[in-house]
Amino acid sequence: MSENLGRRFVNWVKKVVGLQTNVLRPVPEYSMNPFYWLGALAAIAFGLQAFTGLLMLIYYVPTTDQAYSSTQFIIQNVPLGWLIETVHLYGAYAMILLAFLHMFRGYFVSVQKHPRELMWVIGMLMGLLVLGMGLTGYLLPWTVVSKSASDVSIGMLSFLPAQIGNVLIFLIAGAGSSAAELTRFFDLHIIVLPAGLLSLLGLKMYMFESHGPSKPPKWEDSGTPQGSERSKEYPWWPNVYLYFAMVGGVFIAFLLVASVLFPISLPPEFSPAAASNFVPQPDWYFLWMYQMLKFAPFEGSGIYYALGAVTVLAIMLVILPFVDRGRTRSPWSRPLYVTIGLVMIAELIALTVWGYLTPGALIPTVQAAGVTGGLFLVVVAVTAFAFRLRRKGFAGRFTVNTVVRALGLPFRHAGITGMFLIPLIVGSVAMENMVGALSSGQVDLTSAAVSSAVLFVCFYGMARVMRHLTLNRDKT
Amino acid sequence: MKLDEGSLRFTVATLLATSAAAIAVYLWNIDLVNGQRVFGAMLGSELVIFSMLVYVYSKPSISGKQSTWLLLGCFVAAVFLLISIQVGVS
Repeated sequence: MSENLGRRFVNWVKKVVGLQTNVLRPVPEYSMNPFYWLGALAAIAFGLQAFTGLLMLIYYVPTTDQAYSSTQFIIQNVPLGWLIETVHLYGAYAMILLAFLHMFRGYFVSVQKHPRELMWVIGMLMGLLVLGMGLTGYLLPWTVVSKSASDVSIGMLSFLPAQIGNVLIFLIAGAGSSAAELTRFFDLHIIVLPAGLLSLLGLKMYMFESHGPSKPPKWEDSGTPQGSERSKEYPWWPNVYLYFAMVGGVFIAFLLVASVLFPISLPPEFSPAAASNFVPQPDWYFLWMYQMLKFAPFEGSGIYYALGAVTVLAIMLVILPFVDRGRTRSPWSRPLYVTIGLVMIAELIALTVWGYLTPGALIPTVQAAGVTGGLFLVVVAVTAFAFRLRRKGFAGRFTVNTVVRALGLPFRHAGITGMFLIPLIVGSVAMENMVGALSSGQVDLTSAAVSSAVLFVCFYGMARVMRHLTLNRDKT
Repeated sequence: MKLDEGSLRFTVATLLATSAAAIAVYLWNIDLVNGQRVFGAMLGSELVIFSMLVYVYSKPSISGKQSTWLLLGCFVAAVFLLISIQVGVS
């Protein structure tokens, strides 16, 4: 009887709203899975941000003398104001985290391949806008933490070529006054960036409707299983909407409870005196970049190299669909890209944690190279080991013998492994010499030339030996 | 006694709907000035129960793997309720 009542209600809603004709394409069974819904969850977080942000706008005043006091008023005096403010903060964190997870999930299962190249590019631009929303929103409470960190971010723009940097600084922060900076960040945060994000979301959804969700990689590589239950499709109304409501309900519930358990507390208000006693540190999602900038080789004019490296990384991610042209999508058949992705994730997490633990501390060259290089080698070794186990059919049978064999012999013979390790070690020493000389500012031309030559020979030797790498071949 | 699938669904849905209604009534009557943290945690619990109701409605069967998810949902809702009681007491 309850089902009849429910069904009658659904039919009534369908009729009055006009849902008889489904505009959106049906969704396949395999995509009714939270991993396929990371982007949708980020969109839910965006909706929640809009809702809580609008509520805060009732009391928030975007002027330098009232921004802090109005934020404090919301937290202390408005009923449930602290909850709305905290949910807004954690919602922003969740949106950024989900955007990262959505990107990396797409990266590993190759959703960017034809015909979804442009969807990937648009997704990356949306990611940049999400980070921009985080950056601009961070300043609005006008605390000593947020203002100092925002000033550091703006200061980094001055390292861009003057024709671009000056214009960007003027557009983002005005002619130098704090009032102009706050007003522009506020406008960017509540109008410009959300409008851009919504436009790109609409465009991406349009393309999504055209192409549909990407199939599981092994289906695309080896064909959809015939007569599979998993190829069943569900209409948007009511199935997908209900799924959306269910996942969204749980997501918002966790945000609410986290906000109750760890409510927001405002740092002191910004003033030049307070800022002089404070080490500026960005929010967690920019800590990895902040930590890189604290590396000794990137101090002073070396910052160009750090910013250049981040820019190249961002561009490489944007143009990934045009670089990774292989046909297979399964992570197990793309060892190079999977290794790069895992190295990126490991370095991002390590730099973020390290940056949090060492605020303001200059990181010596050896330490920086040791941690980032060591982590790189560990991740590459572990990934290579996992791929070897998979290739040799050892998955699920980890014994001491198989582990030792896979770790010790990534190449066809032990001798070749040794031939790879020697140039790796010699090249690392040469690289360390060069970086050390650059960071100390005392570059001796002779030793620099010798180090460069040694490095070149080592790279060449390693490249030659790499031909014998058996990770991507079935040697048995 | 083993319930058949239809009766089981009806029982679970009724229990969930009753819990959701009880919490909704409590939320409606709560003192928003003194019970703000209780309100937040209890609203979280209400949303989890709502999600479970949707789950029961949208799945053709609630036995097997689905029952594990339902149990997990009940556990989360109960933890959230306990948190709301705890923050209310403190």
